[in-house]
Formats: sequence, C-alpha cells, structure tokens
Amino acid sequence: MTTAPLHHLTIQEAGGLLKNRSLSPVELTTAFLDRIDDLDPKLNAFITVTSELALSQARQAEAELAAGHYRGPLHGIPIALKDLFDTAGIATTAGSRVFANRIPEKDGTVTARLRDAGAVLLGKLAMSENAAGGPDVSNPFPVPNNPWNLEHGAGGSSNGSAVAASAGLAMGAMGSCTRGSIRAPASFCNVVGLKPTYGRVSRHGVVPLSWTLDHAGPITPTVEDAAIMLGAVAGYDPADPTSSSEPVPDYTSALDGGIKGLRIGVPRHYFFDESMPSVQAEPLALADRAIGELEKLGAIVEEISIPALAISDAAALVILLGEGFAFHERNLAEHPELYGELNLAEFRVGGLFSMAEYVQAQRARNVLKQQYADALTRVDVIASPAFAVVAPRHDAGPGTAVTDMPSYTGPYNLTGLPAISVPCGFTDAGLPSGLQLAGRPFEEATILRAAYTYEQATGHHALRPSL
Amino acid sequence: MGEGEANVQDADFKALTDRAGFSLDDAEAADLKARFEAAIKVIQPLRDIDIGEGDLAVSFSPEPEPNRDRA
Repeated sequence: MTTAPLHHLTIQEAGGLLKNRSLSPVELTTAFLDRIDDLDPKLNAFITVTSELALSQARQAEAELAAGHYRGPLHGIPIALKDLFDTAGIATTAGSRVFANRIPEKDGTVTARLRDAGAVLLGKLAMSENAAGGPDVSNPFPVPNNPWNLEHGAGGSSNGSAVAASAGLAMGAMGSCTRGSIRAPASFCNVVGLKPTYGRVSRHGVVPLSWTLDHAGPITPTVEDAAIMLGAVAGYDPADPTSSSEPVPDYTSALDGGIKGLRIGVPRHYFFDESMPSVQAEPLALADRAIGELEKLGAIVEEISIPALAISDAAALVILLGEGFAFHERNLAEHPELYGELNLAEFRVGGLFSMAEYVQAQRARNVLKQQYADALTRVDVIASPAFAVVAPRHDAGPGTAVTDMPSYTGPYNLTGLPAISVPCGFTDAGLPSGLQLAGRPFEEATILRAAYTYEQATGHHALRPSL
Repeated sequence: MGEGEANVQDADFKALTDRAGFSLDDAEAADLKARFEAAIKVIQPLRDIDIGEGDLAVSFSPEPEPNRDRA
C-alpha cells in the first residue's frame, strides 16, 4: 500500500485500494472534508461544501463495495464540480448573483454520470462570474487563491476546480471551457486540464456562456486520472443536441503506448512569438524545453504553419461575447445590478457587435478549422505552451475577456479539437506552467498518451504545493 | 465610425447602445465606450481579411438533431 497521505493519492491509486477494500470510502471522504475545513478558508476553492451528501454517498459506496457491487474506477472517489453543473437540490450559481438562489430540480448529465459511476460529491467549486473572464474581486463570490502562491489567482474560469485538484481538496474536478477555462487554471496550478472534442461530453445541465464554444472536461492531478474521469462522463446524450454518438474508447488502456514515431507539429509563428502583447518569456521557454523532451522520447517534431491563427482571437471574442450577450440579454436588461461591473460591461460589449461581425467570425472559424484539419493530416499532435503567462497576482486586476494578449487555448474551442494542458515546470518565481497538446477530433486517446508519456518521464506533476 | 478605427464617434456609439436597448448613465456609457473601442481593436483582423465567396459560409443542417437518429 502507498504511504502517500490520502489527499495525495491519485484516483487510480485510491480506486485500487477501495476496490480491494483496504481503504474505506467513508475514511477517504472524511479525510477530504477535514482538509477542506482546514484549508479552504485560505484557498476559497468551494462555494458550497456538501458534507452530508458526501458522507451519505460514501456510506452507500462502502455498502455496495462490501456487497461486491463495483461500479468502476470512480466508485467511492471524492470529487467536486464547478458551480455551473446542475445538481439536484443543491444551489448551482455559476458564480453569479443572477443565479444565487437557483436550485436545480434535476442533475445535469455530467453530474448524473458521475453519481452513477459511484463518485462522491464533496461540493460545488468557485468560478469566474458566469464563466466569463478571470477572477474579479468585486464579485461577492469567493475568489480562489493559487496554492503555489496565495497572493496570485488561479486564472479563469474554472479556478476553483484547479485549486481543489492542486491542493488535494478533491481527487478530481469537473470544469468547463469556452476559450481556455479548463487549461488556463490547470496550467496555473500544476495540474492536468483536458478540454475534450466538441460534442464528446454533454453540456445538458451546464449553465451556458457560449453555445458553440462551451465544453466540459476534467481537471485532475494526473493524466491517468483525467482519462478515468473523461471515460465516466463522455458519450452520447439525447438531452444535448450537440452531443456526438462517436463511440467512447477506454482512455486508460492506451496510455502506456509511448510516443515513438508520433508526429508533433509546432506552429511557432503564433505560439512562440514573444513580440505579441503581454507574452512572458518563461512559459514559452518551459514549453519549448518540454517539446525537446518529447523529441527525446521518440516523437518526430516539425514546425508547421497555421496562418488563420492570426484571426483566432478576433473570432473567439465576437462569438463568446455575442453568444454570452444573447444568453444573458433579458437578465442584463432587468437586473443589471446583479452583475459585477466587469461582467456587465463585457456582456454589453457583446451586444454591440454587428450581425455581420458575428457571421464573419463564424466564417473565419471555418477557415481556422480547415487549416487545422489540413495540418493534422501531416502531424498527429500539435504542441504549444498552454498559456502566454503564469498566474497573475490578485492586485494585477480582474481577468478581462477583451485583451490583446494572444489566447493559446482559444483556437481549440473555435475548432472543437481536443486539447490538454500537462504540467511542464516552474518559473524562477516558483509558479507552474503547462504544455498544451491538441489532436484530431475524438482522438483524446492520442493526446492523453502523449501527455502521459511526458508526465511520467518528467514528473513535474508530482510536485505539490506546501500548504 | 470609419472602418478600422478604434475611436468610435459619440453619436455612433449612442446609436449602437440605443439599438441594443441599453439604459446607461454617463459614467457607464464612458466605460462601455472605452471597452467597446478596445474590443474593436481586437476584432480588427476580422475586418481586414478577405475570406472570399468560397464554400466557407456558415452552414445549416435541415436535420433537427442529427445525432439522435444515430444513437
């Protein structure tokens, strides 16, 4: 049996102990609830802690496992959800006063699938207001602190999910992502963030921000745990018309294959251009070194060109704020006082874009999608830094959607391609950064295998914050 | 507003906010105008490119929910 403290076990490790009954789900859940009690007052990862429900689910898991009814690798595993996944009878606020009293009658599909898999729900996690932009201290909901330096934020918008996974407040968490909200906080907190292919994971029962850009995916301490969580939530859902009927493979079975001969493309002209606004040198250098390590592990690395990346940020901004405004229009008009200053202003900007700009953004998106499809006939994976900066200090101001800093994550929300951020080292100031690997539609198994191979060879993920 | 400019004329901005149905005080209007001008600068590449007339139009499918039938 491992000697790691319970909160630092991986899902894979704990799952094995639970399955052979050398660890009790109640003991494991209690350890996490105690840790949340101890640490969350300074981390602010949770909006709601569901202690009674968690202990009830843990007791149920214990009884089922004792009776030989094993539900799978998440059975008895304590997890948490970003507070925009609908949970029956539990407030689901989207980090917004607009939804502060919203208590869904039914679970959303992701919630229901995790429950059916036997996962234990510890609670609902903090997030940027309405999933738009980064943290804003003017919003009355908790703003998570980065476990690696409490004076820094954890990005947006799934910041509570990344903080919980990084600090050992949950074994895994679900986040959502419209332009980078899974991979950015994961990168900032030294954990793994996986944005699956558009349609791979149902958005039914997920409070929307932008219907054509929103994705749901896991944030976990390890690649293997991301594969386990994806396997539990992926798959066709008749309640989500954008859900895909593409079969769901066993994501964990392909992790060990190595990357010898894997072709990796690097669009340096965009992702390594230090002359672009606000870009920091260190995250780029760390990703560059990681790509070199992938080559040493047997990958064939080549530089590629995707010219339409130059219009990616423009297209993403129009679509995100335009669709966000459409979703929020009535509440913006009737209850503007329920929005934070930044949230209100940015959604209103979305209401000022013209129809022609929205259509042009969708057409530009098609150009980008086609160029990526062409590139992915020549390479298997596309590598880059996950983000252009490391976690900013809280006093650097709120994270804005309108920025001239290039988004390295947004192109994969526009194209719908799967992309993962895996820890790739630390800056001189001790802040983590991530390597982003993207692949062909529904080839999550390929990017998981590449990320796993890198993770196991380098071990950056094994470093934990001192709390 | 001239194409490509990030400075929006006050009258043009008021026409836009009126059309959107916004009720803004002076401070809100000034703040929103500054943010909108910043956004216009970010989306300028969309105005600059020529996508052409090819087959890259926004698509439409007559199937109500294409995946349901394949489940």
